[in-house]
Amino acid sequence: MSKATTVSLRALIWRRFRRRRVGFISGILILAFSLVLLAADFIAPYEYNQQHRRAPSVPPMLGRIHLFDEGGLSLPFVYGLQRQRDPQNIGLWQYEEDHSQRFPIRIFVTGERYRFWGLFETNLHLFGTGNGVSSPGQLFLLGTNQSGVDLFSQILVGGRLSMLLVALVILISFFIGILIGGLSGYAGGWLDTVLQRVIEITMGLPRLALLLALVAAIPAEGSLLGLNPSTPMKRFLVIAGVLALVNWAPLARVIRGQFLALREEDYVFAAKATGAGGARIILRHILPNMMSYLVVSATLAVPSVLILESVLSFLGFGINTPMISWGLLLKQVYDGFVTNLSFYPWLLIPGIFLFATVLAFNLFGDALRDALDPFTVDAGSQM
Amino acid sequence: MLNLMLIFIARRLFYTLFILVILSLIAFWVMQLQPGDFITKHALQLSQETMAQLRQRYGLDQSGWVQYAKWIGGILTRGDFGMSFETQQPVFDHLFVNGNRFGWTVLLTGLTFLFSWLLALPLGIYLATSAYRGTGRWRWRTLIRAVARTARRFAHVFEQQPDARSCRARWQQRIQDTLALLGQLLGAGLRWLFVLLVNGLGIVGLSLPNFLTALLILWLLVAVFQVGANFGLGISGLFDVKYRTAPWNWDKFVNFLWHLWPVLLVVGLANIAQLIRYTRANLLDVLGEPFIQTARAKGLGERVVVYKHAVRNALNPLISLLGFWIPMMFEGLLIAAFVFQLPVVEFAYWRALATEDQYVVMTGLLFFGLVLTLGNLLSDVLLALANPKIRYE
Amino acid sequence: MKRLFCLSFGLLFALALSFAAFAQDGSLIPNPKVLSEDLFPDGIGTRGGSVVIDNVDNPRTFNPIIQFESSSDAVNAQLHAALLEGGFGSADALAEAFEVSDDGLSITLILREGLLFSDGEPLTVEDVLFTFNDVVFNPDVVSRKTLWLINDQLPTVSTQDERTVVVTTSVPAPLVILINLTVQEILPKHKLAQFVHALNPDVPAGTFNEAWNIGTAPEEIVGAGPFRLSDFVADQQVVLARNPFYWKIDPEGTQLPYLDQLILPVVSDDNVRLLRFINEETDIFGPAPEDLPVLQQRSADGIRLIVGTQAGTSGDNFFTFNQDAANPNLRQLFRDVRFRQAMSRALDRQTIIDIFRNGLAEARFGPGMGANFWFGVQDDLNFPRQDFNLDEAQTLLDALDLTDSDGDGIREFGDSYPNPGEPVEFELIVPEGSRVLISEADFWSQDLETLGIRANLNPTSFNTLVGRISGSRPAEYEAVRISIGGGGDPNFSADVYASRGPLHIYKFSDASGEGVPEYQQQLDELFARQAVTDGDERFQIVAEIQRLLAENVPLIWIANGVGLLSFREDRLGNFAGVSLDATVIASEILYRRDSAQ
Repeated sequence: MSKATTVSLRALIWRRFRRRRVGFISGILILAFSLVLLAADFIAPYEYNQQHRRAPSVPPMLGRIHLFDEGGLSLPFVYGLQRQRDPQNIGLWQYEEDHSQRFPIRIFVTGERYRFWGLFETNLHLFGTGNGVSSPGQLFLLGTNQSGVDLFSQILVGGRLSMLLVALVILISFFIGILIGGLSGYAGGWLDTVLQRVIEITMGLPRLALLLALVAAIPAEGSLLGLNPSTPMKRFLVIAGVLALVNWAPLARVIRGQFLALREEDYVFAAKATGAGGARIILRHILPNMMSYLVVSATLAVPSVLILESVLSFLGFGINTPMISWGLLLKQVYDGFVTNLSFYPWLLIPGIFLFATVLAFNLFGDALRDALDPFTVDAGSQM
Repeated sequence: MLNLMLIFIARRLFYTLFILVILSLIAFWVMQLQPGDFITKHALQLSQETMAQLRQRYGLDQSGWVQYAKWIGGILTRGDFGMSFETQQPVFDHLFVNGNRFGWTVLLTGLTFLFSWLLALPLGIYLATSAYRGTGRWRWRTLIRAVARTARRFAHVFEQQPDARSCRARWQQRIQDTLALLGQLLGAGLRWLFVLLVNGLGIVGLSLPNFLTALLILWLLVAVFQVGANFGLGISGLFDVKYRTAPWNWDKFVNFLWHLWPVLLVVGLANIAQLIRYTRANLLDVLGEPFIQTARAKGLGERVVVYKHAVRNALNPLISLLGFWIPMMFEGLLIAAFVFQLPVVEFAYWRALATEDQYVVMTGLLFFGLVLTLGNLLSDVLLALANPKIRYE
Repeated sequence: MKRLFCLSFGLLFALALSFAAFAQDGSLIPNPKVLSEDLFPDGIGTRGGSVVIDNVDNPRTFNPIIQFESSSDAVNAQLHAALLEGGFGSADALAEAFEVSDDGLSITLILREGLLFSDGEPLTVEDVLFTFNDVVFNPDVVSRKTLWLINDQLPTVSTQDERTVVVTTSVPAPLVILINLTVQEILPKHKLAQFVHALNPDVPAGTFNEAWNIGTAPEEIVGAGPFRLSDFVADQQVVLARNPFYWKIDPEGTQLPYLDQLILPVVSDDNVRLLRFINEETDIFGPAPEDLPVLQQRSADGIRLIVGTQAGTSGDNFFTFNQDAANPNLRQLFRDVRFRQAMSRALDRQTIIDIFRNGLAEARFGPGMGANFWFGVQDDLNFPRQDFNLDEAQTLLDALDLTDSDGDGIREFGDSYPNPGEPVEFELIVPEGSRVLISEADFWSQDLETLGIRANLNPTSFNTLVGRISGSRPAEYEAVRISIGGGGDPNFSADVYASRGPLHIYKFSDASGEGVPEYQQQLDELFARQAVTDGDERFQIVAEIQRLLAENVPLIWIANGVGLLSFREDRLGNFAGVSLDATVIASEILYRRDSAQ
């Protein structure tokens, strides 16, 4: 007789998730990317707003990393860049490699000083040429923009900011959504009716139109909630708050539905019978059952909030200088797009990152949802 | 039944009113929050006295509540939504009438809607029905199996048979059959590729923000194909400038189509992607239902089964998408208007935001709120009509 | 016989006159202004054709008195004419002659005979009087009265006979009046009197401010300019057609303007305007330095790119510090001229020009523009200038009791300041939306950081920014990067540099008369004097003004862009340039070489 094995729910979910290869890979990519973004300051070879005055509009140098020199195979290096005006077109710069100057690419180099997450100062970077700003030996992986700022560094730091914003928005909106939805579903009665109406009204508000109007009204001075942080920070917080405000309602509605259904469950009655209070019931019984839904919801909310933030920045109503985000980077391409797209197309690369991130989260969220949903029939080769 | 429906609609309309009032309050509060007002940006060109005079003219010197009350009063008594400071025109004219803004907004939204459904539905249906064993996806195994099946059918080509025909005729036959086989293989391969692409479109379309789509299209047109220099085609607006005020003729129509397709893509890509996936998923679900098996068992043709029974049922839940689409299309149209300079209401709204033209902003918010709630109402009603099992609360 | 001859001659003359009056081509007034040949750089042109130039935005109004944006000016400037034209009001226009009285208190102008508006109605002294007394000087009308206030009083405009107008002031200021007369459009009384309460008691006071809004029918918009309004479709375009009654002719006697039509499509996106120009859809385009690569690379032959040799933009671009800042440390610091000089020394103007303006600008250390008649002297007279020198800046800052005591790289205020120990940092507001402006400010702030001064960049919406620098007294900002339109004449600069000027944003408290620094007092005096002088003496006064400003740097001037213009040389002749965004200069002599258009 064969041994019957029991599989825990968690293992079952994991197995189902692993089968969805695309989603699984996306999940891994997301993890890797998050780690990279966490260490954005360290991985970026330059400060995100460091203007390299001798290197405006440098094309990506990925192709200019050499592995062979006259002697054969060698450690990766770059040549120094010589800059001159394009003879045919006075507006353009030309960059030639100066073979007389070799700059090896090293790991753990000392570069410009920065504050890691604003906590402690260091000048250690993951890779780079280790040269000062004025040296012709720089490594601009993805090129520079018209002010000479390294695009790769901007993408990393901007990505971190975008993801932080998204995380904050989701946190706040989930908090509000669960609070109001839960209250409404669990309490019932007149509170439920009132809150339901509030939810409905919030969902009836035009999202982007309202968003634009609210962001445009960010006050320039004065304090926010008694704090008075520097203005870019204030803007960041206000945008996060506003985004959360327009995003909590759909979740609240579903949460309410879940609470309505779950509060009739047997184990809730049992808990009540043993004298458990309302909060305890909610926290220890109802919420854990909704966890799978919440996780999937959060994952699937990331793309839409990320896109919304990018749209805001692109229209000029979101993150602005001195901060940087992907939406802002793309806005900078759009201003003067004739010149930018014709001569500096590498400035579109942040779009690739944005697309890839959104795609990854969509695939990951889909796979997660399928894995967690007990009703989809898993016949091996199904998606 | 009808009574219930009417009560339902009436109640929803009441909420709509409520929502509009709240919206107007929010709009007004937001406008007041903004530092300065419409006149402020001209401080560098005008003297203090002039600015005071202007403020008095526009009623900007009165307190916020007075302004709001006057505005609401104007709406309720005269249908007057205030004055646009920028253009010195009544807001209603400025937002909706001038340049046919309302007309173009409706037309472009409607065209995108139509285009999205016309494109996405067939694709979704195709995906669901062309799959092997109802999975909706092709895998290598299925491709190989299809090829093997095809090959077997033509295997007889190479069988030796006593044949009265001449050598040449036999070889002719063989070549013909081989070509046919290759054709079949190619067809199978293309179908597989097509399914892959459409599936990919379903994923990619959802992940491409519409402004990125717009940027990519711009890049293709301006930098890669250089349509202006090479083909003499313009890029922005709804027409090339020379056709703008010309009477409608064939050339103008063609030009309009040329300007239209980027807008359709930018506004509708996300919708198309979503619709393809939903249609496929729903249709697959329905095709797995027992009543389809019954229909097949009854001997009905596959086509009848699919289209008359399955698709009709699968489309029901899609109606609920309507309510979700309207804000998406609004956002898409705003982006498209921004990038391509379209004469639509969203664009005027955005400009009013930038210039603090407060009554235009407020009216605009009301308008979009109204459209949104009516759209939701419509989709709920349609859903209820299509599916009598749903009870309205 | 003789009588017959006279009679027939008289008949013929009458016939000719009536022909002139009813001819479809409009009519030529008996004494038109003949433009001299040297005004036609490409020679005499041919009639016909239309020219297309994109306008940045819809015109906001067709009322030239209350307009204040360039998109309206692009249209309205073509529709009206003034009494005088040329520099300093030296050339005749609607007035065929003028004379300044010996005491300088009055100017007498003689109106050209037989002038007609674009609808064929006569233009008389009645219209001139109406324009001034009932419109511009009318307290109910939102007009630019500050231009006309001489010694805080408005001039008197009266008539002596049916062709003479007299403008009288209480103190002699003929130059100012003459210059103003070149910009003041003469409006048709027969069309606009109905909006003025004093002349039409049925309408409330101030109705004029709504007259001629963009909903007005084109036939109602009447003026004496080279073109008249033919059609306006909101968000699409404005079409101007030739004014058949225009009063100028070329040396060969052809009535101007040459063009049949001037078309101004509304295209608000800079990128699209550039594309349309490259794709040969428009004939004129004012590029930014960033657009040059595209123009050079993708334009076909026939595009002429004018890169001005001297900085020609009208306007000063500068950083400035609010010497009335709320923070007492900053207030004391900003008022110290050594600090401002140090800040100016920390600005690497040449590199900024190289990187952000493609080398197409001139560094400025004082007001005005190189090509300007009054202010151009700066370069000759060796006024002090603070060339880029970080060491010098360091020395200046060190002498100001600002040392970095805690080693964080930022200086702190010393004991001589109200709040010692505070870090030296200030907020620098910049108009958002312009990548170049923000990048330049960022550039400067990075250099300041190496000097131990922290400038916190804050891109702000233009509205907010304007509100903060001029919306209250004292102003509510610390440092700002902005540009203020000049206008060329020193009078217009008084708004900024004189103590009581409405744009004296760097120190509004000067207006109270207390705590006014020495150089500022001298400036006020000089500005008052220059308004009533002329010629060499005025030159000297303006030079002295510039010297004071260059020494005391209340503003940190940056650079003025070289004038850039591009147009289709193979298609256009006598193109005299464009002011603001789309206001074609001297549109009456512009003609198409390829009249097939």
